[in-house]
Parts: sequence; C-alpha cells; structure tokens
Amino acid sequence: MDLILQQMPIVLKALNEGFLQTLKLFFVTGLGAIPLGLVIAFGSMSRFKPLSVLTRLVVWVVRGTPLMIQLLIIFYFPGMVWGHNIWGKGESGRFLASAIAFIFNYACYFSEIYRGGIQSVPVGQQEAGLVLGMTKSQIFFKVTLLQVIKRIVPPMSNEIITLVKDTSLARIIALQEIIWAGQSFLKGSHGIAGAIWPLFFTAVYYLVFNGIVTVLLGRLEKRLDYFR
Amino acid sequence: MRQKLRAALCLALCAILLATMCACGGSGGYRVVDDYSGESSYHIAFRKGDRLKDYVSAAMEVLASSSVLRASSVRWFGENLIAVDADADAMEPYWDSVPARTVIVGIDLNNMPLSYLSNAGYEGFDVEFILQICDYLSWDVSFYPIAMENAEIELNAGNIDIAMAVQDSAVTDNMDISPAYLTSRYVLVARYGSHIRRRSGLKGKTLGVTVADEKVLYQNEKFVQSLGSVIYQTNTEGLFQALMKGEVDGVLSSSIVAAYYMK
Repeated sequence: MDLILQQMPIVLKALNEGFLQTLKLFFVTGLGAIPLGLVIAFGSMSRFKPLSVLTRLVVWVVRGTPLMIQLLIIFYFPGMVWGHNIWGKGESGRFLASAIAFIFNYACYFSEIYRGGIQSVPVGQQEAGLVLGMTKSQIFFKVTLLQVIKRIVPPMSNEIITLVKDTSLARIIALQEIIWAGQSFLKGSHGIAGAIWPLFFTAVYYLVFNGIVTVLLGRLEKRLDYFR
Repeated sequence: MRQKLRAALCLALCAILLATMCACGGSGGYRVVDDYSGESSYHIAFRKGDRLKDYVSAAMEVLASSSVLRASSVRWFGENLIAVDADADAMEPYWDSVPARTVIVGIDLNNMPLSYLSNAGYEGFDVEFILQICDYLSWDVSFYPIAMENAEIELNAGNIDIAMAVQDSAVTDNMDISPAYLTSRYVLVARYGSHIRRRSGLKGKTLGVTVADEKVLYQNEKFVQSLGSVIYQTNTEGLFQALMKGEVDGVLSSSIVAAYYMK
C-alpha cells in the first residue's frame, strides 16, 4: 500500500498526460464528425443518383471495416506508397492522422443516424409546410430539424459514449493516449514495473468521463422534451 | 602446536570470509549458470537506400576506436559489450556530404535496459549510444516511442529515420542495417549464493521467464519438462526481483539484461 501511495503521483501525472491526448482526440472528432455527418447524410439522400450511390458506397465501406484498419491505412499509406509522409513527424503527425480517421469514421455513423432522423419525420409535414407557402430551407430548419434533433439525441449519445472508448484505438499508430500510459507501468515506465493497478485507474478515468457525458446528454434529452 | 592452531584458525577465517564474499556476490548477487541459445545481434535500422546508414555506421566505427562507447557500455553493463569494429578514419570519405539535420529515432520503451522511460525522460543504453553518435555527427535527435514489430513500417512510412535495437530475427529486406553494435545470447541465471551452478541444477526447480521470451524457452522442450514449474513475468525488472526474493530459483534472460542486473 505504501508503495502504491509512493508511486501514485508519478502514475497520475502520466495518466493525466495520456488522458489529455484522449480528450483532445474526443473533442476534435466530435467537432469534425457532427457537421460532416450531416453533409454525408444529405449526400446519401440526394436525388442526384451518382452522388447518393457514391456516398452510400463510402458509408458502407467505412462502417463495414474496422476503425483500426482505417487508422493504419490512413497513417501509413501516404508514406509507404507515395514515399511522402503527409502527416508530419512526431506526436502531432500521429494525432492529425488519428483525428482524420476518427472524424471520417464517426461522420459516417452519424450520417446514418441523421438520415434515419430526417426520414422519420412524416412527409405530410413537409407537404403542409409547402401548402403554407414555406420555402424548402424554412421547412427544414423550422419543421424537420427540430424534430430530428430530438429524435437523434439517444442514438447519438450511444455513439458519443462509444467514441470516448474508441479513442484508445489510436495507440495502434503509437499515439500515446491514456491506455498507453497505463500499460507502460506494467513494463518498467518511470522505474515502475509490473504494476497493474494503474490500469484500474485508467478505467476510472473513462468511467468518470463517460458518466459526465451521459449526464450532459441526458440533460440535453430532457431539454428537448418539448414535442411530446 | 600453538602455531598450528593459529594457522588453522587463520585458514578457517579466510574460508569464511571467502564464502561470505561469494554469497554476497561481487556481480550483484547473480551468476550465469549456462548458455541457453545462440547469439543474436542488435542493429540500427534505416530506410532502404538511406545514406544515413553510411554516416551512422562510420560514426559508430570512429567512436568505437575511442573510449566513448566502451565507457558507456561499462556504465550500463559493467563490461564492454560493444561489438563494433574500431576504425578511427571511417568518417573520412563522408565528412563533406554529411548534412546538418534532426533525426527521429524510434525506440521501444519496454526494452530495459536499452530504452525505457524514467522520470527524467527517455533513458537506456541505446538512448545514450545514439545520442553519442548524433552528437559526433552534429545532428539533433528527437526520440519517438514505437512498437518494435512496426519498426519496418515506421521507417518506410517516413515517420522515423532510425530504429534502434533491431535484432537479427526482425531484419527484413525492406530495411538497411548498421553493423551489429551489441551481441546477445540467452542465458540461465541463478542467485550467486544458491547451490545451482549448472543447468542440471535447475531440475525440478522453478524458472522465471518474461512473457516475451516464452518462445525462446520452449526451443528446448526437454529442459522445460525437467523443470518443476515456470513462472511468467511481464518484464525483466520483475523477473530479477523474483529471483532476488527467492520466488524463482533461476531465470531465463538475454545476456545483455543479465549483465545489467549483475553489474
């Protein structure tokens, strides 16, 4: 016990640094994937057939292959095939590649949620809007979107919680996130070897953060409880 | 009669003193009992066709002719394990073409005592070794931790310029390597004070091995069957701690790691 207390400041410092990387990846992915998902959703619902077919094909490929493979390909492909590492060297290059992979992957998942939300609004409401003389964009923003947001919050919450945990996949391209930091104490990092307890702390970081995300999304869901 | 008694007492005292010294161990309390497998060399790996290889290899040979690398090896392992041929003039053909640059060095942080992370940052023999070479070439160094099994991909994708501690078994056609800078073999190690002095002494005893070296252990299944039990550790630090505490009677380890703990 004394030993754990002695090692605690070193472990917490390393875990905090790793968790900062995890948080950065989470927020950057969220900021990029939420709007991009909407663009992809419009693409897949487009009446211009080639665009909708192409978008659906991309979504199918991205959703049908593991994120880990996408990370490996996105990070290593340019350097190995074109002979030019477009991501830049060091931690920032790995972060950028991870962020691009996560944004694209999650945007595809979000797009399907958006599409489901948009298509769940009865067509009759759009027709009613048209009859009332509203423009298409007015109908979208004032009739459809409000209902879509309410309907997509629960499935989006699910995806967002999964995203928090999925950020750990970035370690496959050696991004030093929190699990990397926790596991390193098994193998002699900072003079601490064979210590498994930092991994329990690592899990606690995820649990607490997911708890906060769950509470916040729950509140959002309640706030949107206006169409009952 | 008195003189004989005094001489006998003196002899007995000397014997006790000698036995105590042996038990304490001038070599950190461990003894190599037997060799377990053939030699394996450690190389520095580069991208295929990268001129960096010529500069680094030549710099290694120049530094091997001075006491720099030797002193480093003695500090880490207690003896000179440097396997590089010395040539004080090896850099002569290259000085005109050596560019000023920053090299990104990929290291495995789970490779005590070659490379690991301490509170002070990256440490280990490899870290010191490559810093000395780059210092000689007036290059800046930036370290990046990689998974050793990805060394070839990291090199060819341009994420790192140099991968340290690439063993013979990991060398592929898609990378260039420097001459070996360290050689290692697997050895069986026991506590200095124990009665285990040869491999047969481990019969029916408990042997410690790291998870990563399990394959090496099972190269000799007959030996494994002769053991009482095998205990796995995740790292070399835990392995030698278990040996020190008497939790295991012997350990299987690379000679470099053993030299570090026996120092």
